[in-house]
Amino acid sequence: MFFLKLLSKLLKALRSAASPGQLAAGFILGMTIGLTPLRSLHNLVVVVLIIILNVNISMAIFSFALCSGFAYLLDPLFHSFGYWLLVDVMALHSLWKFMAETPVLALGRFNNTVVLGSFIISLLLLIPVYFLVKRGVVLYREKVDARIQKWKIIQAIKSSKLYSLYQKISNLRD
Amino acid sequence: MRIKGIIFLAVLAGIFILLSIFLTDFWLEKRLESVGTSIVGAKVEIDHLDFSIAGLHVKWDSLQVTNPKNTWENILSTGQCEFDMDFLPLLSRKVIVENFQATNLRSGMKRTTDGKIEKKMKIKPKSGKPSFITRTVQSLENEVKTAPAFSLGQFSRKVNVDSIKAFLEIRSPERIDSLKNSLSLMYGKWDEAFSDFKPAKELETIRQEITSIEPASIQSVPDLQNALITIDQSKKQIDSLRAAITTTRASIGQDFSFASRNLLSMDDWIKEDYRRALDKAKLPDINQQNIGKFLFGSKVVSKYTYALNIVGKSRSFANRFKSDKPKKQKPPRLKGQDIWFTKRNTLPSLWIKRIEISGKTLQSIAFSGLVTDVSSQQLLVGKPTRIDIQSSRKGTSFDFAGELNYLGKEPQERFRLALAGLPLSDVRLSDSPMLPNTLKSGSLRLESSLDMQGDRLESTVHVISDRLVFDFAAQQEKQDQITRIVQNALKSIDNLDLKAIVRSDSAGTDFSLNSNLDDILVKQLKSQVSAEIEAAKAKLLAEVDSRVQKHRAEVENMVREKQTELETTMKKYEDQLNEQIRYVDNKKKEVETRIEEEKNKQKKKLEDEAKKKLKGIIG
Repeated sequence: MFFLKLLSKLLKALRSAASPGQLAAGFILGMTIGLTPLRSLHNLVVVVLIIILNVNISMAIFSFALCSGFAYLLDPLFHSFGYWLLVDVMALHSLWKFMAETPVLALGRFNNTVVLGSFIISLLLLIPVYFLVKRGVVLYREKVDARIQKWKIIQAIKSSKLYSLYQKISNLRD
Repeated sequence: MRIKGIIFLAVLAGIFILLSIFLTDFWLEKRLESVGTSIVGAKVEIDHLDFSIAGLHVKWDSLQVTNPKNTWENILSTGQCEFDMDFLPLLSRKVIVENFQATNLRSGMKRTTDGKIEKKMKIKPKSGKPSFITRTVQSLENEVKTAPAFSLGQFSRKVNVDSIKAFLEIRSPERIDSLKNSLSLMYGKWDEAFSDFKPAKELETIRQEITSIEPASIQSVPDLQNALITIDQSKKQIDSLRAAITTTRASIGQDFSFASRNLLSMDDWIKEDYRRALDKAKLPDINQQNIGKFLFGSKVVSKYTYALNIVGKSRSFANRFKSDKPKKQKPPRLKGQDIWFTKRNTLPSLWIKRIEISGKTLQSIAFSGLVTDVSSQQLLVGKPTRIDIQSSRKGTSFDFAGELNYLGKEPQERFRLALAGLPLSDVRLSDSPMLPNTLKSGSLRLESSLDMQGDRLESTVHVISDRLVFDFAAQQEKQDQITRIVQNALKSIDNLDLKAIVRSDSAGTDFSLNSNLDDILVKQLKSQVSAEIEAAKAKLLAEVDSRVQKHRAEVENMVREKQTELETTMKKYEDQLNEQIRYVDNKKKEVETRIEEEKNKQKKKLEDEAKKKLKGIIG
């Protein structure tokens, strides 16, 4: 059920009026929240950005749900990477000390292996993922969407009474 | 930019501020209770917490920390407490408290509700070598556990040896019979070997051969030399026989030692049976150390465990914040591991500069004191944590001083506790069932010290109670022999002098515990109960003997008989061999003498012939 909801959110977002850039930006911000531990200070900033910037919120929610699953699987990698950065890379020690002592920044818990490891990895992924998603959205809209709409299952869902009811409610809500 | 989004955020922030105003106290109270409960392992309850954001002032009316070992008792409870936190350090995740005031501090108070937590927390067994403190606590607990468990019943009941006889587990007869079988097999092997080994027959053949040689009747030297060769060959045969007999003798010797060793181990088996029989009868071993540990061990060790657990927690907390290269852990998913970084001249993560405490002991003696510099990183503060609590009232004084010092290479903790004139009324001196009497009145003086440095611990506890008056009224009806002994012992003293010494280091733990009551009780118990116990012991041992000795005698007789038999056979063979050697040697000498005689005879004959021929030529 959850997966279907997620899929429907994704398809809806892809077919919405939002530009590929807005969708990609929503995706990478949601990805940052999903990959890093939820209760981190930087995620509060990201949530604020999602709300005030003109990015696609449905895409951000989809991306958050998708990346949370990945984060659970990749946790040992984040932990090892964070431990390496915090402990083994001596050149960065002064930076960590500075962050640990700087007001507000210290509340970010960047001395935690998983927080730091996942945050740095999500930062590294931001730009490539942005462009990949943007390109993907364009390709989808040009080539894939029309074909998907012809699928019998999509037709069947669309012609069902339940879907019509859902559409009506959605229109009312919009 | 989404204008709607900014409005939404503003509304959200407004709601958050409003909720904070009304609900922060509730949230903070629940959060502190939940963290405290997870640390203690039993309920931690705070009443009426009040958080004021203006001065970051926190206040609560009462705090109760349940004793996890007895959830109907509080390990600690306080009355009103309040403190202010510094604002700026909070932004760097540092809690700095200038002055913490805690009033009405109590310990050991009864709870009105059970403080047990419903959901059991999963405690992962710690891997690797246990810490010095854990090892010491375990050793002390083992000392008390392994002290024989005396009970009034043990001393007072008549030992019914006849009923115990039926349940005795005597294993020696079976083991002795099994030994007998294996020894019997071993000796059987020798019987077989000797049935094939017939040296007498061979020796007889040699003897006949040698006897047939008569040197006197042999006239020529070549014939005599042939006879000598025959004798030498016989000698070689005898030598090989001698080697066989010597090897056999050595093997028999080894088997004899094997049998002797096994016969000796029968003593150990029988001793084990004795021990099992005495265990079954549960006869107590009355000695001073056992009585001392049994009477007061559990109470003293529980105090040590309490103190050492606090020190252990303090040490592990101090280690958590060390910024030297920490070991990589395996934290639960999405939790990660915190790595602590500290810069010089910065504030520690937690620093309570001054805690003013006041409260009452269980005997309602008011005390007050000061705890200074409770910090997560003492190296940053440059000061150890010091505790100083005092109380002085008419004739009663209480003085507790402590220092937790983590500034050096090795952690150091020092505690001193001195009590004087503490009134004793309606208290039990010991948890032991042997000493159920409560005190009507009395006075207690205590001096104790605990010094720890790294993996070394030294501690003494000296308790002197005087003017003791015991309450015997509760036991008037139950006047059995043991109750009388204990009451007599208690009546004969009006003071109790107890001394406990604990020394522990990486090599092990020494724990001794003595009191003047132990001596008196041991003497009285021994004089009145020992005779019966000794008689029961003797009866049990005799029963074991009666069942075992028959089997033991059988195997010992068998070994003796077989060894004698083998010895006799070997002696016979050795005698025959020696006699034969002598006979052959004599015969050889005779032949050699004859050869010499014949040679001389022929020499003389040749000389005579030569002289005759020379006479003919010259003459």
